[in-house]
Amino acid sequence: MTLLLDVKKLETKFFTVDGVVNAVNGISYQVNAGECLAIVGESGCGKSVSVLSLIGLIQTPPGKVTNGEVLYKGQDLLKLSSDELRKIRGTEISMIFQDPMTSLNPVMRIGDQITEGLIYSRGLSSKQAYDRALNLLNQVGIPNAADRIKEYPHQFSGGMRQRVMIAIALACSSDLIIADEPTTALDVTIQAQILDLVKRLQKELETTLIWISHDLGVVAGLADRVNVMYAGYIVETATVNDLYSSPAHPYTHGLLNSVPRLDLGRKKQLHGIDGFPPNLIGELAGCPFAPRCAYSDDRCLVENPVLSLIEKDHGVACWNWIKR
Amino acid sequence: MQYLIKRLLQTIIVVIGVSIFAFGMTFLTGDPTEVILGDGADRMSVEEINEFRVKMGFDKPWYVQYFDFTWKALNGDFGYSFIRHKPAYEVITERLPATIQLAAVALVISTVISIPLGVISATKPHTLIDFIVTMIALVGQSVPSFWLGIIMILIFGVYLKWLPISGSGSWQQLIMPGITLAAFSLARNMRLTRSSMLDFFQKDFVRTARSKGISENRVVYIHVLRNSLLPIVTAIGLQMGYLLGGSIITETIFGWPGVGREIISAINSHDIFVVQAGVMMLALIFTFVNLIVDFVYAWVDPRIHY
Amino acid sequence: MNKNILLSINKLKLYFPIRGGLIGSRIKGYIKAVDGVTFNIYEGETLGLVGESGSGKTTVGRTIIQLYNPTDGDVIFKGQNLKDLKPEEIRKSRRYMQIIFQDPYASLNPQMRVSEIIGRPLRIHKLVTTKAEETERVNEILNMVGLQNSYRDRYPHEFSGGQRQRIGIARALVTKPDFVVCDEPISALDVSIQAQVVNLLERLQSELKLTYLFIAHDLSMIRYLSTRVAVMYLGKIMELARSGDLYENPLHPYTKALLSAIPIPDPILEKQQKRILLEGDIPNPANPPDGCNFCTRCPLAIELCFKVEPEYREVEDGHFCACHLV
Repeated sequence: MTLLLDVKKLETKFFTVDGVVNAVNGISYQVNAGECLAIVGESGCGKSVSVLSLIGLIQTPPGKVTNGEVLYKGQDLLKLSSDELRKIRGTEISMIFQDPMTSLNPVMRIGDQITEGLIYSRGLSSKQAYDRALNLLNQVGIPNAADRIKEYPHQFSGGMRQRVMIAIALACSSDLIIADEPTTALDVTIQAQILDLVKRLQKELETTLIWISHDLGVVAGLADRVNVMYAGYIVETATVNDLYSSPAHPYTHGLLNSVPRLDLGRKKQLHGIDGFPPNLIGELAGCPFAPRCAYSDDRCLVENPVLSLIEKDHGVACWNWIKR
Repeated sequence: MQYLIKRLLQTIIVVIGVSIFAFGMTFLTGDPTEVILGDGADRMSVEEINEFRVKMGFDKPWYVQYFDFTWKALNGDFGYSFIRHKPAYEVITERLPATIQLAAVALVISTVISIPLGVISATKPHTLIDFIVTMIALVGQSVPSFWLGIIMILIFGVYLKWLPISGSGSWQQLIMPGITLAAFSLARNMRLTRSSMLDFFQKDFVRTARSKGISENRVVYIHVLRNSLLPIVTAIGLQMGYLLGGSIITETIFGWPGVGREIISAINSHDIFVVQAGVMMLALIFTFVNLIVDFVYAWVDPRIHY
Repeated sequence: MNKNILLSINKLKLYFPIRGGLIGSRIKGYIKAVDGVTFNIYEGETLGLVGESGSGKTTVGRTIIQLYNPTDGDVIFKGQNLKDLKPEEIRKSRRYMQIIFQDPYASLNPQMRVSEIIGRPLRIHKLVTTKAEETERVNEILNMVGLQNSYRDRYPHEFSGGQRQRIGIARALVTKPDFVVCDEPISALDVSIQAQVVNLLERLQSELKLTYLFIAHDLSMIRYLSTRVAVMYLGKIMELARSGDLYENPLHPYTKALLSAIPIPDPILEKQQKRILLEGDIPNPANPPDGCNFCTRCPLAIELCFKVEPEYREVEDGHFCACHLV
């Protein structure tokens, strides 16, 4: 198992007129080559911001990565110049975004959008880039690729556009792909197609995948390891089997209890989590989940627990974590 | 293709509408006979006035007159100018090149300056250059063109004596009227470019473009600008109307021998047919320019023609 | 759940015209959003309506409560055919038929205080005579949905998504309706809040004796909530059955594909899952295929499916299906 990505104490803040938004609060994790890490959490937990911070896609101003190290193949990405970082984006790390409708340039042909990265970042000739683009379109399952490569995004359906996004990501690189909720906006049967494609491609190309989602079902089928985020912190990290069978953090526990299961129907009673997520502006005292937590005590309100190992490969940030 | 045919038909309807309006103008002040004859009517007998009326066809019912008007107009006959002693059509067409020249120069000045400045101010928002550009835009849109024209004449023509203050023929004479006419549009286009681009910088596909690792220049020009241009093209199309209409004021101030100035003097001297001809001509040009802009837009935005 | 029919929907159609021509007067064709659906809704039940984009499920809900005028077909509410009612009478009947909308950010008037949003329906339907009475009713429903009385003077933008949805629910239920269309009320909410709202809706259903038409695309949630479930595809109902029956014994190929596509939050089961993958995309609702709407993507389609539309019929007790192969 080679270590591909090593994130240390990553911190990102947004400096807005309303105050400083602490979007990512010193998170640390590792990703090994070839594995799939899922980052799970609800809106506002910082999952998207944390991955955009890795490759310098945070809008500055108002955002800024204020601390941390991001070691990719040993090199700290945060210390690179913008040109060097751009090179990495073009050739080694690529991203797939959530909304295929808005993530493609409406006035540029699909073929050009795929070859753009190849020509300008990888330095391929037009002809080489075009051939590779055609290849990729076939690989991601677009029928009549030779005709469709000349078309525009609005001529494709949502599922097809997402396949194009995958092709664009693969064009740049297939070492590390970061996917930010790419199937959330898709219909269920289309989602199944895309997930199947991604699993297949990952196996074929031995790609490392970071997959962000709030859908616990999708994550169960795709991930090797899972990070659960809340209010900008990683509150639990485990292998996918451990996370679902014995969640240690009350938030993870609550999340799994909130999700209905198709196979169990009424046999599983749904409990939500009372209250709502905290305001990220300003400093929070104690554990951010404490106000909503059924297991919290006085200590939780003043001291913020640090992510620590409770078993092999299973870490929790909780004073009163739930034992098996 | 269907879109183009539809637009063409719509244009024709607009032209018909304008012709009805231009035609109707002659009746706004009552009996056109008296308007044309003006003071001279005092010295004419009632029979002579009536004779004149019949000769001009003002005694016929309005729909017959409208039909005559349209039929003659299609043949290029807009009536006779009593002031200039030529057919109204000639009066206008003689002066059309000057107006078009001025409008074209104004269009070029406003576009060539506004878009690059708009791009700079959008790529460096909230900096000094952005502030300067925004201020220029604010002033340009608020200042009335006649004031600007007169001030420029005072400064550059009278005090500094750098530029001639009226007339046409040399390129120096084009500068001040050109700038005066261009000022409003320049300001407006600058602001539009800036806000359109700032808007597009927020879009998801720009983030996708950046994630591919291409240069920021490419992001700005190929991705953001190309998309931002669409609303700007529309604005420039509509600008035609302003340029043609605004030319009236600018031409008058600078003594520029164009259609606008001619229409003003024709109005003052009750030269109805020249007014009609001038309005129809400008309206026709405007409508067809708009049609061309629509075609250009359809060609530029793939979502329409695919 | 008793067996009285509250609503009877018969061959309901809603077509949206596609306009063309010079001034948009010529009709080029129709988007057949709802293309002949027939079903009953029984008192006290929750009928789940599920489908993907273009299925017509949202349009069905809105057409039933007359937000759109049906192109054809009948909606019979408590024995009264709504087609026969004058517009004035339909407005009066709105007090008994309500709707909860999907987007908690768009469905509340940002200029109105909470007390006004919830209180207005009471005044419109003349259910209260004094201000005091109105205040009391508004407080009552606020408490029922789990919000404090003090919230009544606030504006929508001061609340979170989940709270806004509760306000929307309060607004819908303040007139004590019999029937409520829930149009994807939880899709825009976070997972942990979804469960809160779902539990609230269930509690209110038993307290206020409500009947729900619950529209959603999340089949797991529908299975959890519904007594019976209808599966729609491109404007038609493909299958309708009791919740448990639909999952344990799906008859229609589309239902089977839909069920197999849904990810289950259990990694061990997921890794074993054999998925039925459908080819291609959902067809254009303006141009549905001849024969069965599903024939272009159906893995089991035979020649008949491309020519003749299958009949929607009761195949087993309470289990309806529209498929030639069943």
